[in-house]
Amino acid sequence: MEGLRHRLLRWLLLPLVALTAGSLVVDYDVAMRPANDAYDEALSNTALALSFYLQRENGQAVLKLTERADAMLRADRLDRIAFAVFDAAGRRIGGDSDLPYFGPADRNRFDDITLAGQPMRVAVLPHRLGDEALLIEVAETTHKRDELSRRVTAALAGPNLALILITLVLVGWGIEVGLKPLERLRQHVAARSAKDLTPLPHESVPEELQPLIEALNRQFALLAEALSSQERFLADAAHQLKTPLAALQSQLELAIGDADPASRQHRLFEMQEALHRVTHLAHQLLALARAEPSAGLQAQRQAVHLPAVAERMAQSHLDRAIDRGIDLGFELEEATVEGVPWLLNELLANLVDNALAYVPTGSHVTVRCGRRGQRPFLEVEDDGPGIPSTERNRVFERFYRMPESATGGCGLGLAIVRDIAAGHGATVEVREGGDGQGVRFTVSFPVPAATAA
Amino acid sequence: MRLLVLEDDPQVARGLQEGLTRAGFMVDHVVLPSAADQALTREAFDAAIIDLGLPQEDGLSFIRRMRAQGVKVPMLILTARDTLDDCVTGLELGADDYLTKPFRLPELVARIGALIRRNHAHATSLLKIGRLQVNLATHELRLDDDQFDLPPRERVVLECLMMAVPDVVRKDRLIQALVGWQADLTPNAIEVYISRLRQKLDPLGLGIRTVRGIGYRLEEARGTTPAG
Repeated sequence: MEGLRHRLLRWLLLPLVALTAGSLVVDYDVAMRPANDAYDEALSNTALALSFYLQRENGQAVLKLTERADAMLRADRLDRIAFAVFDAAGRRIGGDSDLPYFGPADRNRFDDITLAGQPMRVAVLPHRLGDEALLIEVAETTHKRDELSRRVTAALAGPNLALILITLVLVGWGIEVGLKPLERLRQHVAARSAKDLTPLPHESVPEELQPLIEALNRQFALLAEALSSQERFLADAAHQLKTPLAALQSQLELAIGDADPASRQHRLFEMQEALHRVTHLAHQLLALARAEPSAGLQAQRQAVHLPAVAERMAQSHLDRAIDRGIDLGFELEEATVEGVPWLLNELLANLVDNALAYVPTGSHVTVRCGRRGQRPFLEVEDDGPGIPSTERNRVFERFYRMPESATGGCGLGLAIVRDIAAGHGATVEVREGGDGQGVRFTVSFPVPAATAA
Repeated sequence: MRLLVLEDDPQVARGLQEGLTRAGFMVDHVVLPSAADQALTREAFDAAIIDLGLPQEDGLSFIRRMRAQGVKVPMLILTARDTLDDCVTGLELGADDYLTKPFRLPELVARIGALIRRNHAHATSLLKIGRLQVNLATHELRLDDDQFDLPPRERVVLECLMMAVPDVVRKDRLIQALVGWQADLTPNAIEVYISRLRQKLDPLGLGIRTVRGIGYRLEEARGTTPAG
């Protein structure tokens, strides 16, 4: 986009120049009109003087001019004067033969004509001689008038040109001074480091720029928040990755030098456990990245049958539940949502993983789906130790783990659940389980468009 | 049982080869799709394990090409790309199952075993779970080499469960299978058949697990390898 300075200059100067040009035309006209009128008057006076040399002879009008009178009528310092007299029928009675008939006329008239390639001004006067209507024409070249026009133009052009030039300078200077705060702001921003997300100063900024500064500062604040949360996340992720890797490395080094088979076996189990933690974390980090709203998931949306999601989950999680001595059960009713199939699998898998990790042997975990009101829902309930109400909102934070929890989870599962739910316009609710025991996570989806319509 | 493993990462390949050999399979390992192509078209394998992230040719296009050439060997996809999309595409192109990296060896062995068993049952109509064998064409049941007699409805239920191993069979699927035998079937009746089957299968090292709210799964007693 073009600069503010150019815009201002263009939209101030173009009208100013047009205005000055218009005023020049008006001034010229005002100066020229009375002068031209005076010259015309003089021309008609010559015509009037000519009329005194008209007389009747034998019932015919004739122009009787002496040489002296002729010379007097044609006397002019600058211009050539021509004249002629015509009868009512346009027949030439006397005067110059090259001046054509411009009649008839019922009152005095002035015209611009060209005679022998020269521009001329002609006065046409009706004149009565006895009962005969005559027409007197007197024409003169326009040298006097042209000379006057040149002088008026010269007199007007100088001051107007000066006016335009002074205006140019003043406008340019005004714009420069007016835009100074903007330039200062530009320099201030340019001098900042790329990582500096502190608010821009409000003071010394003109009020027109305040909303812009405020909007920028809001954006900076959001960016700073996102950046620091990203940094926290990276730090946490690195920590979570390195801890099991460190365990893996130390156990591996010990195992290499360990001669006792029983102790070696024990170290191998430890290594397997550490490896499992790394694997799980890698999977969870990927899932989290893919659940990002910016991951372009809209295109993958389709109708997803929730009981089918739950059944798939049953196949994949049953063995783990059996291993841990937990009764994994299902209460599935018809429900379909608009969503991304593998993300919804991931959501439910994380809720069930979470339950399987936190409840003791002999507990029950129940997966439900169906509709409440019009809203489809997915629900996982257990009868384990539950989550204190003070912790219930924190469990969705990334890398948050309940105090004193001894499980090998990485603390991302419920954050993934929250992100995926948000991506589907669904809400996640944490409550106590049915008998006041355990915990119940309910994901409520929006009413499907087809039903809502 | 002979397996072909198409995997380009040497460390993963070594692990696969050793683990599968220990589980009782004969393993041929190839690195390039062109080599796998020759092996599958010229020799007989019971199953193939295909890595998706391959040099030379994408695993998915390899599978499509093999199926187009009429290779019927059951194939299991191994992939580090764990979006369901890739796996679903793989299944649509003709793969029979998939597993994402990293995987646990026992799970791989179980999946391969099930794959081979299903394929074998499809080809011979004979399906063997533990000591039990069912002929899907004649519906004849055998325990080891002897005839194993069951009331018809219990036999139908058992056959459904055997066909599905290692998956869970939905209760309504069992009801559908029995409709031909008994029109007004209640879910309670299914439970009765299951309970009778349990008593008869328990001594054979087979159990039926109830998956609350979904259905039942036939399981071999823990410790036996499905690949046998």
